[in-house]
Amino acid sequence: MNKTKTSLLLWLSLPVVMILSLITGPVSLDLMSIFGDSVASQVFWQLRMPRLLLTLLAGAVLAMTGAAAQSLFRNPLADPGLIGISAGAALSAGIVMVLLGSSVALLGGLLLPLAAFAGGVATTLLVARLAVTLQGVSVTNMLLCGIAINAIALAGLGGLKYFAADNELRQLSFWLLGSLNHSRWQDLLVLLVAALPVLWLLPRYGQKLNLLLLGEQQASLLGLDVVRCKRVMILLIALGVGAVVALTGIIGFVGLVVPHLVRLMTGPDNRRLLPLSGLLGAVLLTVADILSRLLVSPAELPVGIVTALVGGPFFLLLLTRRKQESGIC
Amino acid sequence: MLIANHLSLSRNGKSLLQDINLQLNPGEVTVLLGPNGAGKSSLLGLLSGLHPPDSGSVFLEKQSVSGLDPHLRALYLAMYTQQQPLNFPFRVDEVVALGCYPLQLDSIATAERVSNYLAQYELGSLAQRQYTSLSGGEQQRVQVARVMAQVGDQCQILLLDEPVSEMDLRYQQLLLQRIREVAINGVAVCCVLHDLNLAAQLADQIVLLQNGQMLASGPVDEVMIEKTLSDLYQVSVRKVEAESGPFFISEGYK
Repeated sequence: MNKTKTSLLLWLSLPVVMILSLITGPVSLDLMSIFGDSVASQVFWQLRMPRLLLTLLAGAVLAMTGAAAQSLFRNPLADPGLIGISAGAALSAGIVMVLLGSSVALLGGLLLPLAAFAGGVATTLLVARLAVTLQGVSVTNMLLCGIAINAIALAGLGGLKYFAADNELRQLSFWLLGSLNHSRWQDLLVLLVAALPVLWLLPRYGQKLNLLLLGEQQASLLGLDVVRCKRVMILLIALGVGAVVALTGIIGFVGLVVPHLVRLMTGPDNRRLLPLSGLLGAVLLTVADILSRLLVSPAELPVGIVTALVGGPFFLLLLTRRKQESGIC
Repeated sequence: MLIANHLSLSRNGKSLLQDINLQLNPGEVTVLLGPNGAGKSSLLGLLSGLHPPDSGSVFLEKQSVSGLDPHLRALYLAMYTQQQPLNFPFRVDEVVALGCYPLQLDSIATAERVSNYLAQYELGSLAQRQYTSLSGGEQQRVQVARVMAQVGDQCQILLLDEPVSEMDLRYQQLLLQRIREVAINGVAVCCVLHDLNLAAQLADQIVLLQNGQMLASGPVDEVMIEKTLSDLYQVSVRKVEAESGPFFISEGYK
């Protein structure tokens, strides 16, 4: 497909899914009612609008950090969820939440995202340390490291349930599945603070990530300050993933599936891949959110279940294809 | 001009290089020869500034190579490394374009330079192919073309680590000619080769490495003699004089 057409199509799909998202739900809305002082207006302004914006931001950040992580680790399977960054962030935030109990609201709700960010940085560094050998990136180590971190974090979060009060218990469970249900304007503000620098800065590193794909030595010989570039990437990825995890829990596979789809359409050049991944991530997570509200309406599924049901089989498909190509895996 | 003084390097208690002194002169091609594990790649790693030596120094026009700003170094020095870990499906022309990165050209000039280098390395017909779908020899030609595209007006040093290892005869000769052209433009070239005949054909200066030490260095006629080469490679090497220059035959494993 023509590259300009592809990105045009993606941009056009954005307003369509936004409108669909705003009009989907148990309460039906019409254009007039949202400006009055009615239940419909409350639903629109206090529930659906912040939820839509949170979904767009979360989808964009997850997909773009996924694309960046894949270039950083020079492997298309390096999804922040699969390699444990999301789980590390969730565990860190979970510990802070249970330890501090009700005083967690201090710092204007920034405490949990900060904790998630710290957990994300720690996990990314750990994975980078274990997976990157002198010979290059060991995919086996990277994925095994992810399995271990995911298991530890899951056990940790499970253990925290015993110490948690009822209120925290519910929040912990929603973290494990990933949900966009608790979207309020103040959450959105917190996510904006973290997401905007990520969404703004990552695409600026497109060409540098292209150089990294040649290999670290090759990138260095082409004039890239490799150590500095990797450090910035790790911080941005952890910041983005940490903020999203703190507010929505673990929404898996967006960071894996979306960059793959974009690469199929426009090739691996990070200068196109990063912005278009952000765009498609926003669109697809919104679609997943609409599905999660429709499938068991009037109740709703955690959106993480929807993305995992779509993304899991996709991942398996990738594995079989790679096996046939006897490629990197 | 690149000057290396008393370079030594060891890894995990094993000495890789000991007291290497070397000078790469503008316009000259130096060929590094030696058996596997002699320290040829390690030496290029030190010369490029990718790795710091344990002791000794590498100076490029009075500046320490390892102290150079990465961008400046990329302008002054280009290097082809043996390992090329690229495994994402970039097109061939995109890979070569990455070589132009340090030159900071606009997109039109980059496209021009890329098509020029694709033509020079007879890669025009592969330009739109995915790098990952190419054969080993074709991939090597693409990566070599990428490194050569990095050699701009300010470039002083070109280091090549076994650049012809997977190429067929035609492309070996093509590359030798391109290396020669780069040297004529005033670049100091240092190239690791295993083929003695190609080495004799290309080199102004030969450096023999054995167990991390410099065994000999000098012009082809002085250094590439039967006894030295036979001792170095532990296999009997015969030298045959011909009009076009000497050629070398190795005569069976003993």
